[in-house]
Amino acid sequence: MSTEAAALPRKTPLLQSRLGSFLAVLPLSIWVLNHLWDNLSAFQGAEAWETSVTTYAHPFSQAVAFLISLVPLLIHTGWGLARLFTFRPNNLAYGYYDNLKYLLQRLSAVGLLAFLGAHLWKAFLAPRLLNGAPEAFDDIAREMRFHGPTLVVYVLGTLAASYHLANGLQGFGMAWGIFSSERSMRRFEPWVIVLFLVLLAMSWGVLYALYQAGEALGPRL
Amino acid sequence: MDTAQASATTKTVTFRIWRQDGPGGEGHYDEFRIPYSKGANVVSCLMEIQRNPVTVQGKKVAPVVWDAACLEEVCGSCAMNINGRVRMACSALIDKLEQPITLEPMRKFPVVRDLAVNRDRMFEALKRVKGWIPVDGTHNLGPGPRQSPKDQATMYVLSTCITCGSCLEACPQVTLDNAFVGAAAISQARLFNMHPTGEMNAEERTRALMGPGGVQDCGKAQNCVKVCPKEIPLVTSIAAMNREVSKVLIKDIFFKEEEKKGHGGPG
Repeated sequence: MSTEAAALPRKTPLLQSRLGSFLAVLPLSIWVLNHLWDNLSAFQGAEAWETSVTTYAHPFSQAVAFLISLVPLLIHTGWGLARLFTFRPNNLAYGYYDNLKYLLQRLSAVGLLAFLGAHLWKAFLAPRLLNGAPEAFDDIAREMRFHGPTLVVYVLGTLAASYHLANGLQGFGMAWGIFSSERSMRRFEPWVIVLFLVLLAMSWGVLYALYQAGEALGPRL
Repeated sequence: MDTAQASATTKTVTFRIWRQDGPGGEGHYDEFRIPYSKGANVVSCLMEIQRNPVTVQGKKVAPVVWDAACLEEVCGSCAMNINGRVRMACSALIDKLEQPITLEPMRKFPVVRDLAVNRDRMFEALKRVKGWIPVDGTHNLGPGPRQSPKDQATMYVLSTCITCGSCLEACPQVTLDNAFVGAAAISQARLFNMHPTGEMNAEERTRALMGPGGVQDCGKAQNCVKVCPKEIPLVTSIAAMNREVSKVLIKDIFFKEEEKKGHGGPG
């Protein structure tokens, strides 16, 4: 065996193997938390929601927000899709809790891909590009109340997002060596569950507020 | 002959065994029925079938091929799928298995014939992580470095790995043709990095776990630790090596070559 330093590969494939998981936590998970927090203003009505969700102080801040969320999301998605190619679930033979979490992480990822595609197009890009203005509160509230598929997609999409983020954080902790034992992962487990429930409560809270607002507005005439 | 004895002699064990003549070939199941004997395990039953390889349909077939050596769960060669789960055939007792007992080769390794598989990928992985302690020279090197009993106890468990392949077989991230080194080799890298002499090449082993097929291919399904016949803490080993890999990544970014330490530990 060579003991010379020169024999070592100097470059570490950081980009391929680790950037995808890093970007998901920083900035993506923080961005998601902020996005949910902003959306909770739906409880305060149309004006409050439009101020905190769809209004940007400057066109620049809108572009920056778009890039900060979308570029890491694209990298994380590419990284995850590549990982899906070597995914051979065996939950029937090995029905362990962790194996189930592993399967759900990947299923929620595929669901999220579809949800975020639809969400980004319908709620962010389409209104701005086609109508030249961000989506109005009344539109999304009515949609949530009177268009069944929208409600179902949002309920499931935010469920997938909450799970994927909370469970992904535990995986991230192990992948980066923050938890360097099985026991430390176990001890983080309750916090994963708490985070999942908090994210879910926030998401479904927003949906509830929009639904209620839609009810008050009544169907479009 | 009393009835109890008669029923004991007519009690049988039924096996459904995967048959495949060569690598990559088509396969089928053969069914065998052999007399029950108390305390029998899967290997002893396979030996019984080998003596008289006649299927339930009365057809004489080629004897079943399988790997086994020690018959006491220390050589690692008889790992196979028994009733759909990977385990060692030598320690799989017939009394505790549901019949018919289905025997299949491991799916994450190329089949040589019937139940025998080629485990080369595991040995290639050990070569990749340099799973050994380099000792140069044939002269007397004197007493080796001292180890604390605590480290020794941790390392002992890791050293019991028998390269059976169960951890790879149960891993949903390992496929027949991907490059993932798997839990066993990662754990061995940890073992030899802990050794006071092996530690001198710790960086080489850690770097071997980076890049395609490296430790980042782990998906945290954690089946490996549950199927390991030697109960090696494989998840802890993977997590520990993840930490070592992260340290190298961060040092590569922030340290000049001459500022880095040669091996692990603080600093």
